[in-house]
Amino acid sequence: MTTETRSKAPTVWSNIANYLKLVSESRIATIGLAMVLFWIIVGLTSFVWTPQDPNASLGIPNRGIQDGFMLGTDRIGRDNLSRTMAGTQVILMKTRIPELSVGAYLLGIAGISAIVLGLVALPWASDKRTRQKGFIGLIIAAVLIPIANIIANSTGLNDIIIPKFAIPVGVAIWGVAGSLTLGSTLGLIAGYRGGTWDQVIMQILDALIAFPRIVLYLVVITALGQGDLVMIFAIAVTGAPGVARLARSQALEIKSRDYIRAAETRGESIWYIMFREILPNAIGPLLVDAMLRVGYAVFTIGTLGFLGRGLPPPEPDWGNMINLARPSFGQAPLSVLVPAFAIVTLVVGLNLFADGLNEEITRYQK
Amino acid sequence: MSNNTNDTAVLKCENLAIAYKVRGGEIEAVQNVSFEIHKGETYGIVGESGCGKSTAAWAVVNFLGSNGYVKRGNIWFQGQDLVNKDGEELRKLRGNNIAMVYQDPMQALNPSMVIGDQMREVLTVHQEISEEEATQRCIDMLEKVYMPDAANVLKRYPHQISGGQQQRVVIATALLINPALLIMDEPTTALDVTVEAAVLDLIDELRREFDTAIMYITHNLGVVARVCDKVGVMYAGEMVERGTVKDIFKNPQHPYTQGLIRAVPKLGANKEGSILYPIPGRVPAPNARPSGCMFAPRCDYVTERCRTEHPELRRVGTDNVDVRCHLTEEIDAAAWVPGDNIDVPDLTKRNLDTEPIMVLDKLQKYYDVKGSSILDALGFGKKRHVKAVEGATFSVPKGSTLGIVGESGSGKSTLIKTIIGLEQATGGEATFLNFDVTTDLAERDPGLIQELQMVFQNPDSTMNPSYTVGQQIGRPMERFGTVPKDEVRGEVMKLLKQMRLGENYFDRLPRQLSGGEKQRVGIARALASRPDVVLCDEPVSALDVSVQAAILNLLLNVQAEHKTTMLFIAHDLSVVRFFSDNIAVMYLGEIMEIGPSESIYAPPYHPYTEALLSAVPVPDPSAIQKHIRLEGDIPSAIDPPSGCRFHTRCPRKAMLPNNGKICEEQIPPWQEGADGHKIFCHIPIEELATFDPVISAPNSGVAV
Ligand SMILES: Nc1ncnc2c1ncn2[C@@H]1O[C@H](COP(=O)(O)OP(=O)(O)OP(=O)(O)O)[C@@H](O)[C@H]1O
Ligand code: SF4
Ligand code: SF4
Ligand SMILES: [Mg+2]
Repeated sequence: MTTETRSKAPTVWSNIANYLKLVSESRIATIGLAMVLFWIIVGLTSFVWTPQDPNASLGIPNRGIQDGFMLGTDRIGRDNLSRTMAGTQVILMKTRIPELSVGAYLLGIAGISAIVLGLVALPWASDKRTRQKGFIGLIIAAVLIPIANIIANSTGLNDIIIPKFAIPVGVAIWGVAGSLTLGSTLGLIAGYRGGTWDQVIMQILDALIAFPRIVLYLVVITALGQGDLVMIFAIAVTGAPGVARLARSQALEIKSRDYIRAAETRGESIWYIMFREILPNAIGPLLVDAMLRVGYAVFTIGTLGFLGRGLPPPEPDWGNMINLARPSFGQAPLSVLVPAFAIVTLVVGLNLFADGLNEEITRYQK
Repeated sequence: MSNNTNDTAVLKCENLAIAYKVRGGEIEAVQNVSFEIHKGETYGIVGESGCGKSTAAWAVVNFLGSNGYVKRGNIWFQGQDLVNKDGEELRKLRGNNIAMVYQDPMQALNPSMVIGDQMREVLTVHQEISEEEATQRCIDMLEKVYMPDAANVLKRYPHQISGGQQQRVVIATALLINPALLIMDEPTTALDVTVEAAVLDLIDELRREFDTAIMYITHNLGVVARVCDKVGVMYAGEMVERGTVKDIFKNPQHPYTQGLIRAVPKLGANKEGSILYPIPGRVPAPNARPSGCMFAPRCDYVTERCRTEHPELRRVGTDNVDVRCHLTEEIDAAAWVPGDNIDVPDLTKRNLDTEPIMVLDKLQKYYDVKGSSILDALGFGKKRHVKAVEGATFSVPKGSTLGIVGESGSGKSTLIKTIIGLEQATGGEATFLNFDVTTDLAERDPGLIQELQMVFQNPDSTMNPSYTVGQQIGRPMERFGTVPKDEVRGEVMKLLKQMRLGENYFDRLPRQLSGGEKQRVGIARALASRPDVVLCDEPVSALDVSVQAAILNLLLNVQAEHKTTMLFIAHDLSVVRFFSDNIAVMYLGEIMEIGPSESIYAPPYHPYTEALLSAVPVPDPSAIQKHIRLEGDIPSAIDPPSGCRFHTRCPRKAMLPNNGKICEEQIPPWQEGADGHKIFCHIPIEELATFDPVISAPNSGVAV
């Protein structure tokens, strides 16, 4: 109690420390966190060391436990343990950018800028005071891609090729970050602004939710081809409506508080109110939800891999491993069970962590 | 063991201590509480929030939750020990004989069940009776609590009746089992004064008729004075004084009781008599209680002995009063003067500018209502409106305070929301320093926005939980550029100091503040842009009386210093009395009476003002207050009554010819009295002036 008088302004670090304290108070969250950390460590280790080369056929195909192959080999003699370890990489650790032309980069950057600009301009556009500014922003966002396309085609940019490379953090995480940005902006506008904006935004998102998820993924992947970036896009788009719903319900509740009235009577912009006044108080549930979503994404990537529509080779993909080992399950069950175990423990770990944290937060608020 | 049980006591608590188990230990919420309640007696338990009043009640009905338990002492109910009994027997004993009524009636009612079913269930669970008989008994009981159209109410859902009626249903349900003991925990706190008055009358009557023992928990001393026979004052988990209401109000002996009485709004005959004196400091948390007298840190008379030796409850003098204080005999309450740590407002009449800073002319705000029929959905339905504010006309002199008073739903909040631009006016004119203020905020100039700021009602939602005090007070300064960026911190510190908050509050988060402190920050934030006008929407109604007084005095001093103009909403007339230069009384969207504050509290009264005044609970059992009760509920603001909007409930209408036919047909005239006092009524002002004053107290028999 006495420490209260000496408390400092909250910083990012003290917030994180707070959350960690909460986690440590919940057994479920601690177990979940341990499971997730286990896979993060395994993934990091796999960059520098695996028992065998994950992509080389070094052993006798479809064998069980043997010397040098602790968890057996798959149908072409690769080490299950090494492949499962390396499978963590594409999901959590790195995203592979393929070989692309400068023109394609230009288009990509224009696309991302259009989305970001659109997300920034949309709140302005829904605000009476700044409507004009917002609509101008939306128009600019809409013409960015065609302009980039013209530039790329009319110059030689399409011929200059940049070799492939990887960026940090895996597909599942980028994808969920995408749905979080997209979904929470739309949800905050719908919830805070209400009226027509709410109806239009939520109608569109509800239509999206009505589609079976896996069909949505397959449509996107079939249209754009397999690849890490496409998977991120698919995860972001399919996840956004759910995030938006949650953000909207949070905004609806928070907007009735008096401190929002106070901000309004200071003439704050809608952007300030949404992101500085409402979002910090809605972020807890959104982050917990995001953690669950990373779990879903891992699961979905696995399912898609199983359907042969997952992440491209050469890096191993758990779902794909299961799919390929399926015909010889009777001979070499470990080739199916080991990656399946990996998916299950990572997903369950994320779920436990999110649930435990959520429970602890709600109890803390009471 | 039962030889010390008094047979006539329905409830007797002896040295009761109740503890809650919490993480890392336990909290003793209640200690050393002893009292007894007899048949047909109403026993009041008063004290600030956090003093353990509700905990004591929950212990009796065993609602302490999974982590609470009676740690020491006894609870005797009709001679049977409740603490050492368990299981079914206990449940039965309590279920058949003890009933409880809470603050929020909706807590006791099931929203998805019609009222009839809920009430009948109480009877059919406990005894074998037929459906018809049960229905008849429910109707009888509802009629006893003056529920209009009782048979019909049984068929409705809880949300289809008003808050006051819901509370009556709860009370009627509680009485159905004819309990020996009725526990009421702030049963009228959520209600309007006018409804509260009716419910209090009811409680008084029921006690006489049914001979029930009532344990009545409240923070409002006025209510205690009206309904209780005896009272126990609780402070920090202990009972510090107990006795008959008459004795305690006449001669409060414990410094805490004295402080409470000085802090409650009164409706005395003069303005000085209505000054409020706060009790400095706040109730200590259960785990931070001092070792000697609990009240020592806040007491004006504290001595060394108080800090070390815990006082016992002891009989004092010849009155039947027990007090927990070492020095009772030496304390002379009449000689009390406010200490240096209390702001006392300066009541010398200020010379007000006559030049108005804000002028409203027939300002009107209608809300559209969405119908539910298909036609409405298609947009062909008849357009309907909630007529929330109609024809508001007044001007506010620069630097003055206008108090706005009225029942819930009378349009007070809507009026100031429209002025500040949270809502757009639908008609009429309003100007502030020659700016038009009928538009909403999106169309206002930043310069104008800066000049009008607002203080809100609910301390728990007035501050953003994610930012520190300093950040929140500093934000308006940054936004409007009132001070250069590098001086913001210093300026915030200055404001904090004015709010009597130390510099160490700068980095605190809202959850580390008490309700009163949050309100202070809210006020500082409103003042940060140096506005000309501050609009206050019930800024003290959610606070304890002792804190309430401090905030009101603070606002007054701020006003004196900054020459701020204020519009101040309150729901009853006792709060705004010494505070306002002018007062407007609103009913159903219209102003009924407006004028200098003195003129509102003395005849001529508008009939509605008269009714409001006679409903305010006065913390003085010897005061004689006119008994006027309004019938029925506030009508719907969608179809307000024709002519005078008050005519459906006006107790004075009958004075006019034809039982006041004119009131139903014609809009009343504005009649002018002295000093700009105006009354909106058909009864000639000369006749209104002949009414007796509402409160003819041998003023404040209270020795403070
Ligand atoms: N946004 C809204 N839409 C429709 N009707 C509303 C709205 N806000 C208020 N009203 C209605 O307007 C009328 C006046 O309400 P208002 O809140 O101004 O009353 P009040 O005097 O402030 O009451 P209280 O003492 O309960 O705060 C009521 O009938 C209320 O139901
Ligand atoms: S015991 Fe001392 S500190 Fe306590 S109330 Fe009496 S005088 Fe004040
Ligand atoms: S005009 Fe008639 S109904 Fe209205 S307050 Fe006066 S007497 Fe009552
Ligand atoms: Mg209000």
